[in-house]
Amino acid sequence: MNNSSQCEYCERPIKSDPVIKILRGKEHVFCTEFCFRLYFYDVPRITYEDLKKMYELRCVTMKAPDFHTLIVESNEK
Amino acid sequence: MTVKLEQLVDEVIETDFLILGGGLVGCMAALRARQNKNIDVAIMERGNIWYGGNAIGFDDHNLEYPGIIEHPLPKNFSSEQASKGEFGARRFHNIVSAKLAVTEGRNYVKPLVVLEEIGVKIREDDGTVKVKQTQKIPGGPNWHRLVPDATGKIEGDKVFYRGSDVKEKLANAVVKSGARIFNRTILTNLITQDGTVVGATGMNTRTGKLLVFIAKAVLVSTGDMRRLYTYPWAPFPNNLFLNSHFAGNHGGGIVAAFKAGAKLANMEFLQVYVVAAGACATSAAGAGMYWKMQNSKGEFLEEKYQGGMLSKIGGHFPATNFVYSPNIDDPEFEREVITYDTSNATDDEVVACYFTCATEYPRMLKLHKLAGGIRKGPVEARVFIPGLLSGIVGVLNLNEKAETSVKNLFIAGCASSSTGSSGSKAMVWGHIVGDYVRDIISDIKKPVLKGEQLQQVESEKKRILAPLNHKGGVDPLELEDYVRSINMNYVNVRKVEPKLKRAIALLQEIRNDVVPLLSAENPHELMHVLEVQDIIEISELHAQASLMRTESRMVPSHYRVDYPKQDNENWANIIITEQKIDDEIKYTRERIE
Repeated sequence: MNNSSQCEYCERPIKSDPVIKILRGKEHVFCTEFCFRLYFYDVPRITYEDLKKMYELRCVTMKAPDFHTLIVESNEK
Repeated sequence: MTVKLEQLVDEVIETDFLILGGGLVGCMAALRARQNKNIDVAIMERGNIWYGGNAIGFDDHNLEYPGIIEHPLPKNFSSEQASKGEFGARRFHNIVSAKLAVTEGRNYVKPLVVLEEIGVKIREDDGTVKVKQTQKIPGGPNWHRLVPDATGKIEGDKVFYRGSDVKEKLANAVVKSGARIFNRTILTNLITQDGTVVGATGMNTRTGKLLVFIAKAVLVSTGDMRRLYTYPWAPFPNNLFLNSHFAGNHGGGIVAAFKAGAKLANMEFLQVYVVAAGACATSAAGAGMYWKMQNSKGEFLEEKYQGGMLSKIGGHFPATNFVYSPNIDDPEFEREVITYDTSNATDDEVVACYFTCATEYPRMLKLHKLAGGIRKGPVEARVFIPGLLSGIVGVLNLNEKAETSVKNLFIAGCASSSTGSSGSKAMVWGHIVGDYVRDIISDIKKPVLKGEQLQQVESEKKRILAPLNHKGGVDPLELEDYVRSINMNYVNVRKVEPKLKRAIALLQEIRNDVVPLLSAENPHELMHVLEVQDIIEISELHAQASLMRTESRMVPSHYRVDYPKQDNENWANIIITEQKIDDEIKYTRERIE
């Protein structure tokens, strides 16, 4: 039984149900099916640290309210 | 002699709401409709709903909510604002309805609420969201190059979330909701009764089983048309499937809706990209988006042709502005080898490119790795047509409820001519249709198939199975290659009347003389036979619509060599619609709001 709390591909902490795959008899744990696919197809690894760096370069952090409050109902009939 | 439906096909499925295509639209619509557990929902998906649709490529990795998180949409958001492209509304040079863009804007956020409910982690742990900054070209799309926006304003918000699993979670939620899913089932046709859609026929692409669905309402969410042109630098049959978008989207739902009498619109407009040779995608290629393109003399195109020739005549794709300069009839890229040099890319640029790969085309990371990394420049840039311009080409969306000109037939996502070329917008329209159908379905009478519908099913069965009897006939993929080469040679970017007419004549010849000779040995090949027939139909409509629009607009999406100017007097706010009535194709010009 693998008790890993980290995704084997992206190294992010696993916060929801892990995706567990048996490959050649060995158990592998991923945070999502997507990470499993990236791992399986040997896509170069983008780690949590890489992502954080990318976010710093390409993204801004924004406070977002509860999305319900952003819903605009039509004034028209 | 009356034949019973059950004798004609392998399975008959009765449902309230039939959804054709289990992509982001279909899944969102199913979830919304199943909010009422008394409504039976069936999804017909040609692949499987966990990986089906454009989301398989990239559309579920970023959520595009332009501006509205930072600047919430005003309650009085108007058609005038939408037509200027404010709050991320689609503008597209007067061929997309501003009224529908307002509807889209008003519903932008609703799918986000659903996604959070089903466990998609859009926010960081502290509740914030990450928004990708892009530079906006005035009147054009976002430019991904790392050039700071002078005003510092965020024009195009793309919310990135960790996980890239919207599609998986949506599919799981749909399964949990109790919707019935028919994977590996390709739509073959719609069934109609007195101008109302009452169901559809499908074929399982693994077993060959024929299915008939009887439904009160049908949603076409089968995606866009991606198999009209070829990737000319790959051998057959790879040239048919190498695409920057999901090559499974061949436009089958659009053709079925058309045959059922729905209006199609804007079929003349092409999507034209500049891609890296061999990569066949913009993000990984970065051509013109991250790095400047140059010719063999080392001249940078955007400096040589400042502003870009196309931007002056309505062009809207950044990179194509330069490669088609100085004159679209004698463009630089046809006289030169255009490259972009990544060898001196800064760390930031490399990270930015990897970032886009990771969020759009993960497979491109692998290609980059195999090629020795991003800094292995220079890379050759090429012009490539991935298909028709999704989001503006397809079944005409008549109103805010996404109804079509066929009763009880709805349209959403990239199959729609009016809206939704991104995953986010697709989910918006899926949400709208799902909610609307849930509200009205109890008022729609359960259809009963009569003799005329049984005849439709019987002739459809004959059409589907006929190729099994033609041993050694025409291979459907080879025919597809030929049809797509007709589009390449006679339609393409520089359209001119005699060639368009020749394309139409050739396509009609193929339909009459070659299609009856198509052969297949198994259900998978039968699927290709069905696809190529749809591709022929779309190709002809594309050529006909191109012939009819006697002006140039959104160049190079629609450029007529013989009518090179934009003609606002006669063509602004005009769309060309096609409709099949009594087996005859009728073309009309419609004014949109």
